[in-house]
Amino acid sequence: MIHLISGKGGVGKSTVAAALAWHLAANGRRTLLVELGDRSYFRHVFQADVGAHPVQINSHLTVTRWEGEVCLKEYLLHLIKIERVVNLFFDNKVMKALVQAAPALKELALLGKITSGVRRIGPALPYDEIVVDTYATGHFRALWRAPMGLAEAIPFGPMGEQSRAIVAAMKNPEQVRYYVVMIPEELPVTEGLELARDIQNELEQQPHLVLNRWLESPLRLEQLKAFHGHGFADYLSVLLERQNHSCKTAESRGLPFARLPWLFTNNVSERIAKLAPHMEAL
Amino acid sequence: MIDLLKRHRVLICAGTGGVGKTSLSASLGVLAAQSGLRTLVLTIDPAHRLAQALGLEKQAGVDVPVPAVPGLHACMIDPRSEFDEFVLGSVDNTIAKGLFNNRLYQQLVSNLNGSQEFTSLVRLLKSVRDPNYDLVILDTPPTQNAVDFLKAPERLYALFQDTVIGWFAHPEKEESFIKRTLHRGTRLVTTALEAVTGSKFIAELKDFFTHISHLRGRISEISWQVGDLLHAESTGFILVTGFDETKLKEALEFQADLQGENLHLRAVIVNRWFPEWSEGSHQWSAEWSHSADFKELKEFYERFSEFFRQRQEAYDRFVHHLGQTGADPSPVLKLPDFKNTVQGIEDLTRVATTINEKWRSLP
Repeated sequence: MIHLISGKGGVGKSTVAAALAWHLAANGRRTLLVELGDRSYFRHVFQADVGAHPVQINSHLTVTRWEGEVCLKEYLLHLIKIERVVNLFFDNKVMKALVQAAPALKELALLGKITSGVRRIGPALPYDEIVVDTYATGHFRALWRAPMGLAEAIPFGPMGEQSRAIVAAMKNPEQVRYYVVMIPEELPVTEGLELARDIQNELEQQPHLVLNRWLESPLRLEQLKAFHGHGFADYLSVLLERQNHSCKTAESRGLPFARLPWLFTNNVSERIAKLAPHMEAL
Repeated sequence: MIDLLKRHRVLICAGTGGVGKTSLSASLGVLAAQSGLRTLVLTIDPAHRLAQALGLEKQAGVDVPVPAVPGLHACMIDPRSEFDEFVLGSVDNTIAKGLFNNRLYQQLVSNLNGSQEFTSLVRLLKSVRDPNYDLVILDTPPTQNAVDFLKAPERLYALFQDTVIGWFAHPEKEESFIKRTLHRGTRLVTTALEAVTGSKFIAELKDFFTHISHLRGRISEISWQVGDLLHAESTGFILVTGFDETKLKEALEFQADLQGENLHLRAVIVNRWFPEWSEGSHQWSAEWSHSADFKELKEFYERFSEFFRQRQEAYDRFVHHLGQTGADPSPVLKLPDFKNTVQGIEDLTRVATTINEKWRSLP
């Protein structure tokens, strides 16, 4: 199964992705945690040099980082089979500029790689689960719209076929699952729910909603009223009200829904380990 | 802060997504307008309520006066139509139409990676020339890395390199061109590209580059102008960052990148620093002291405070590095996490006041 995680910036996507991977691995699933792009976040988290070569974190968890350009190269190698030609292709100044600039090529290569296992393309990946920490909402849309646009634009040829196969995998609930991460605040919820709606409409899938940083207060809203005027109590009241409202809004969508607790730790590794058991609900 | 606003023609709020750039840009706009500067805030995709407060909910792409704030205008940039307008203003209609119909062009303008940044800069250039404004504040689009924004024109310009356009737009010259510029084996490359993508894709690419080659002159002109504008002494950057260790690390990288490019970072705003209550009063009446609930509330409060104490340590490390990187470290402004979501004009005004007060109390 492929798990794709997105949400508004700053909601804790990477932490949630890592916690999900951690949880799956702890349950005996061979899990690959993937981050995208040229900078590594998990490098700080796992104190490992996370690059194109997967790094083994524990017996079942492996972390890697995929870049569009590298994926494109791999994909070309798969199609052309002759490394010398592929290298020529990439050492070529024109091709370099083209890959940098041409819209949608890198996105296509990334999704191609992510879905290669389920499409049975290339060597089988030795993993049961692939968890991808993707992009923030806007960029994530652009990611999946790339193969959709190309599938429409190019009726014939390998690239058109590849695009259509990717789209088919992305729409298959047995193969790909979506997670929209939010925190109990108005903006992240609104933006998250918009993304969820687009996933439903365009990918015909039911995304999982994850409400991160849910504060368990020892006192309920009614109890807090007694301490009106106390700065902290007032703050807490506003926060709890907002939290309840966000939760109701998110729940009302009738999508699979889970809450992850606010944790009193600034240590990311510790946070991941503590959140992992909560992923059971998903 | 008012002096800083008055010294600039352009202020650019940069930072990664989710740190509150949009509401801070708007607040700075309010502060500037209150200080008598005719100000325009250029923003991208503000949240619904904020857009309403700024009077932006109906129309994109035009400057509208912000209700209740004399001297302040706001504009929501619509990257798609801005790009189309740019094309229409740069080439004749037939070519523009050809481009609009090309699928890859459609991908390019709807893909957030690059075109949004480019269109904001195009729009910024236009607004700076508007004699009706003393100051233009630009809220930058959400990027994964704050630095992406700066590299956008460069990335887009890569599309217009002679080599790429020459290769695709003038197929009849292909033979000689290849002989001139490319390594041995280019034939293989062409064949490979065609094998991979299919001839339809190549046709689409050629079409794309043929049309877009007409834009080259304008784009390069714009790139120069943008470069000049960004480097001007009257253009300042304000880095907005959140308060966690990764965000702060990114902020450090951004600062280094700005310095590397000789751009002027004028301030760092660490947003949502501490919750509002950490600075407020926590007086309680004597009658509460026997309440079991209050005991619990106090314990909870202590837990929170300890959490923030730890976070302070991360920040101290950040400031230490910041001091080490440059001879002239930028002032760091710390804003609290307001308990209410910043969305109405009153909220923006409150943030503006806080910014000004905090700025004044900086050493």
